[in-house]
Amino acid sequence: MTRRTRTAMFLGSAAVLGAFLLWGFSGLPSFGHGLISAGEMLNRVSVAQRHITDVVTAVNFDYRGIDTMGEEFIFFAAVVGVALIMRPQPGEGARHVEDYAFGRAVPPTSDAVRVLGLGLAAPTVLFALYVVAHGHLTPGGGFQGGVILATGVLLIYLAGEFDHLHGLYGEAAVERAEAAGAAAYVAIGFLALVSGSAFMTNVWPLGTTGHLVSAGSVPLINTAVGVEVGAGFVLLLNTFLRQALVIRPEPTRTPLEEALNRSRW
Amino acid sequence: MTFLPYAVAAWLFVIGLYGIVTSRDLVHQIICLSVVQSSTYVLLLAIGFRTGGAAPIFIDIPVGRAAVDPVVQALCLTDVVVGATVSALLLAIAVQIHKRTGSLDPERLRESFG
Amino acid sequence: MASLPPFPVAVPLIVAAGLLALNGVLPRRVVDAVALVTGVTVVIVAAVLLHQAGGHTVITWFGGWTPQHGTTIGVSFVVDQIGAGGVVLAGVVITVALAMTRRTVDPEGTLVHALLLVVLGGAAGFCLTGDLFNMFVFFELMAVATIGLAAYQSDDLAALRGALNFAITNSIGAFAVLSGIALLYGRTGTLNLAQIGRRLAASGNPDRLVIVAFTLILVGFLIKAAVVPFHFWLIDAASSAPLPLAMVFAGVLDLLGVYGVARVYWTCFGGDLRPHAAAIRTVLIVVGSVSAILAGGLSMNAHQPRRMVAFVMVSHTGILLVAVGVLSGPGVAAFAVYAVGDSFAKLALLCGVGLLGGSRRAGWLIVASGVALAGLPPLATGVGKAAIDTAATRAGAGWAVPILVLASVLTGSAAIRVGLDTLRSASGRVAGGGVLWTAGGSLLSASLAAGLLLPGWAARAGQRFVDVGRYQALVLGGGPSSVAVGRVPAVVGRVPAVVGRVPAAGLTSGGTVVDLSAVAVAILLAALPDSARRVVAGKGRMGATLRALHSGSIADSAVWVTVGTALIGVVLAASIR
Repeated sequence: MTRRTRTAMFLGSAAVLGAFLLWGFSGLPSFGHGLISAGEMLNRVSVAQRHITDVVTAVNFDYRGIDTMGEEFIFFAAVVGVALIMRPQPGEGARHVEDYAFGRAVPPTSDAVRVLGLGLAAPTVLFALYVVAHGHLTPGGGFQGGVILATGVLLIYLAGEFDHLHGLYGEAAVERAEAAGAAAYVAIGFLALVSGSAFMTNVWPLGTTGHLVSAGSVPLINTAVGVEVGAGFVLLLNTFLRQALVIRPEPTRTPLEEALNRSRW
Repeated sequence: MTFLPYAVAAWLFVIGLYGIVTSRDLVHQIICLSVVQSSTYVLLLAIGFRTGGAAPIFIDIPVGRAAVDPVVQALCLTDVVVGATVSALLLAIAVQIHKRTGSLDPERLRESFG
Repeated sequence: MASLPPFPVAVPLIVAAGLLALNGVLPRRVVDAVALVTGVTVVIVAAVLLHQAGGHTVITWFGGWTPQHGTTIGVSFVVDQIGAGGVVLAGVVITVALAMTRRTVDPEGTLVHALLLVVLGGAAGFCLTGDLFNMFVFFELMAVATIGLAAYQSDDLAALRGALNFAITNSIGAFAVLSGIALLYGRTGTLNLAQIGRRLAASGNPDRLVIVAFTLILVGFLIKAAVVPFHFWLIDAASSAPLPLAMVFAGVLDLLGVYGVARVYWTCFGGDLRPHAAAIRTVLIVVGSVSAILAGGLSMNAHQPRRMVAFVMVSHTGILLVAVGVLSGPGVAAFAVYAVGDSFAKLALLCGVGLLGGSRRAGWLIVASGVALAGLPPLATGVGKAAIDTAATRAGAGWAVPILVLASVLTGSAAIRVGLDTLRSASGRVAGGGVLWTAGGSLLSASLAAGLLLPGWAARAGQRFVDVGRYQALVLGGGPSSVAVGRVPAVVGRVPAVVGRVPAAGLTSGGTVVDLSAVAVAILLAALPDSARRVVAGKGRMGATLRALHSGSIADSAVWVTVGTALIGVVLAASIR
């Protein structure tokens, strides 16, 4: 299809589609006045039932825990997929990190960035741990905390060089951590089966509402998810950075030819 | 005025599709997919909103106080994860395509296959 | 074993995680073995569930969260026969695909196996769940794992582009489904299939919200199923995907898209939209028929074998959609029988195409698969086809039957022709390919067995599937947690005798005649010299235009999605008032 035909066809049908959607949405209860739903019922009962104060986390990890298990494995599959897609191909090798710009001295990272990055890295990791641990009390949880954890690693990269990240962790260890987190989620679900209840029942002691140790299995699941998501995002980061900075075609040309070739970028 | 959030959701859906259809850059297309996705966020959260409702976190408010619907928020969280992961995969594919062809133009990509 | 339902989902997932943890540590043979054992285990567990479901539908509430105060707050798995059957089929397909990885795929540690197992877990969850959002989550789980599998041959530009097209188009479909789910939650306040159905039916005539929600969810699943006009991504992705992935597409994804349409229609909309069933029936059958015939014609003209297979996939998914679109118990039964036979035949075809390299075996396998695809009784394809034709005629859509017959003639002959070409150019015995040959042969035999054994079972299963009232009563009427499932009161336990004599979804004499003639025509067509076939296949300007449309542009795909959605939406809105 030519560009013009395509755009014309699209504009016509998009107008119809937009009108159709609006027509359907107008059948919804007016904004702010929805009917009594499962969610509202949960607001009323879940604190007492599960000694948990963050109802969103309760829904995610307890009432609808199987949904979150699926979601966790979506993340897992994506990280594995990205690792597969970005692996070195035959004809490519991992060389040392270097900048693309040829014949230009790369300026070292500015002091401001280094100070900020290094200064913020540790508080970020601490904050991440806080968010994961308090997921059942205040907004937060495993996913959110895991992402913040990965951000701490990113800060270290920004402050320093890619090579510094390798001093921090081994790729294989991070992979195992991610897998362990994912497996732990399912294992916790199975444990409930062992005690005679349905899969993923919250069979752990519920504790006192509002305290750090409460809500049964939710903090445990939160931790597992936090580990998985944190490790997963670190892996993602690592994979993309490696692809950009480290993986190069194997040299088959003389250095001069290669230099001339690269100057075309 | 109370229809505005739903109208925004419909608009985002359509304009994201427009971006995908008319795009000249793969990364731009992927971001437009995120725009389509954000229409689902707006729709979900708008459906869950209750006038005068607080956030469904009962650590500092008493149980029984009106709060917004937590289920749609949980659904949104799942949606965000799904979207982020698909974007990561798509961007990885885009990187490899750029490596092979030196360009990110979807038109160029199509022409090479006829 | 009341706690069985989570196993087909949880086991492949945890094994996949384990495989990732041990990436690089385990030798290749061990990884293959572990993956295969897991696949077989899932099939066995699913078969047990299937057997259980034959007695009474098995229900599990996760976390023990049974409905409270009349509202469902937890997620349930509702295992009925069709659902459990779907898991068995997916398990078989993925086990075969896993067996193929050794031969056809570059070993990449454990990652490919892990992803295939994740697809299996997702497929199992999709088939077994009784919750609408849960369906969406597992739908996306399958999609994400498949994207990784589609793109991992990252030095193959065609594969990358196919994966990109797949990912973007599928995601648009997923967001459509999610919007539909949001609308239904806004109207009913719940996400449980049975409860949505009950509340929608109670709220009277279907209004605009219900129509739009139905359209969005329908379109989302149709995109996944890859029927016209949402099929462009499959042509692209399946042509260039590695063999195990093509098998997943052929045997799992397309099928589950159609299954999703059936499941959501009957549980959520069956009550509310019943007065308008005729309109919906027409829409579904038209979409299915157009798909079947268009893709059937294009499969004849495809240049490469893999592209031909991709068109065959789209065409036969169209036929499956017609089976479901008839909106009746016998239709669903026919869908089940045809789906089994068709998946096996397509997989056998892929095995044959994968063997291509000049061996005679490949040629024979492809010809045999082509014959199966054309609908030779008593293979399950033939039996199923005949059943679909019967169900369609009985539902007043007899006009679709010639279209479907023609479609399977075209696809069958396309495959047979490739097989004949292979035989003609075969350079004598080429050694190797034992696994593929064995797999292909067994699949075709399985298709035969299925054709003989399934129809009676399928008829009962189909009837149960469309019995909405019973489904809702089972789930909501004091739905027990899985611990107590054995004590479900007898009145809802056994298949009630009042269902009466359900005719087996089998062959009639008329159906056999039609099937056999179709196969004969297909073989004749395949044997024609190229010039004659060109006339028949209608090349020329229309053919050229159609081929140009399938050039693999993502933007084109997105445009057609928009056009298709708008069209279906307008038709439904106009006819459901």
